[in-house]
Amino acid sequence: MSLVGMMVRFGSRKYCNPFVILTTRSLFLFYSNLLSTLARFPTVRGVVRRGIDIKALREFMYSQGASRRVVNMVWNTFWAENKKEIDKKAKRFMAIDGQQHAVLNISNCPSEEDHAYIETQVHPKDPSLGTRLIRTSNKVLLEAVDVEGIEVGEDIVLLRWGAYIAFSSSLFCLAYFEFRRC
Amino acid sequence: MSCIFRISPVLILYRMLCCFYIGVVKITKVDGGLEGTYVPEGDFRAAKRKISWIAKVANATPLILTEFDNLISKDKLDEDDKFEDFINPNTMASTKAVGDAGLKSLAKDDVIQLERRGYFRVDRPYIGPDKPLSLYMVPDGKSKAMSGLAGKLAHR
Repeated sequence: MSLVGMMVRFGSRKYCNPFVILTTRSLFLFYSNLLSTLARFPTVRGVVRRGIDIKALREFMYSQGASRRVVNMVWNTFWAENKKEIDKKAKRFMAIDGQQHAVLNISNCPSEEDHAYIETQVHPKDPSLGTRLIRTSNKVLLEAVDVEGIEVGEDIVLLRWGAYIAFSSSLFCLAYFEFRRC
Repeated sequence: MSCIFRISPVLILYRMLCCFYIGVVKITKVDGGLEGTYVPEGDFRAAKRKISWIAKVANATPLILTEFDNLISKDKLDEDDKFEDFINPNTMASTKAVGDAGLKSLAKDDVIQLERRGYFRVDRPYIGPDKPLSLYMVPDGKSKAMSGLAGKLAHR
């Protein structure tokens, strides 16, 4: 049995905006003033708390090579790299602002007591992650920003709201079509 | 008759289309509360607004969305700049929000996407009505938010 080890030595990366250049004294000032959360510090712990994927972080560091040169970089590339990684498995949900929202009454939909739901994919690009249920009701919340200047007679699209009312009739047509094909 | 129920490529294709079907609602009243009717065979391409929504039901999940901004307001400090002059006073903002019931099942450190809002990391899972789910926004490296639903701070 032999242990194979690999050591990678990195040059220091300076990111624009965080305080790589700052001294211990100034760090202490930040620390004592803004301790409420560490997520804003550009440390490994800080960026992990902000949602960096460890695999993406490692990939990113490898992609920089093991150069000992000191380079200046912007954060955007770092986060963009991370986004590619987290996008593959980030489950999709929806949320509406707690205060700034509008209520839309939909006249021909089942009410809350009927416990109506629709089934949709957790990830639109990856069916292997399974499905999730979304409750539907005749009262839905919409973002206030989205309904600004809305007019009577306008059609709006509610994302992921499956065509479950239409489904039975369409299925019948489809069955007929299938029957003709055979 | 059995051929009707045979799984054919056409049926699979149709089911796939069905999954991505999106509901079209025609607005019938605007003043004094929005009202609308569901249009089952509506054409979603014609609609201008494609928006996120959530059913107004009792078991929806309360959330706190937190965003962060840079600690220093200047991109690169020069030698003679005093960093105290460039400390950003607003580096954190939280928004209360209501989300899907399914959000309750998330564990700490899960990364999710709230559609049209952005990526979020679970900092504290849902515990109860007085301890809602706490989500931290993950920067996506773009200079603009992914939709009209911009946060309170500058997008990172």
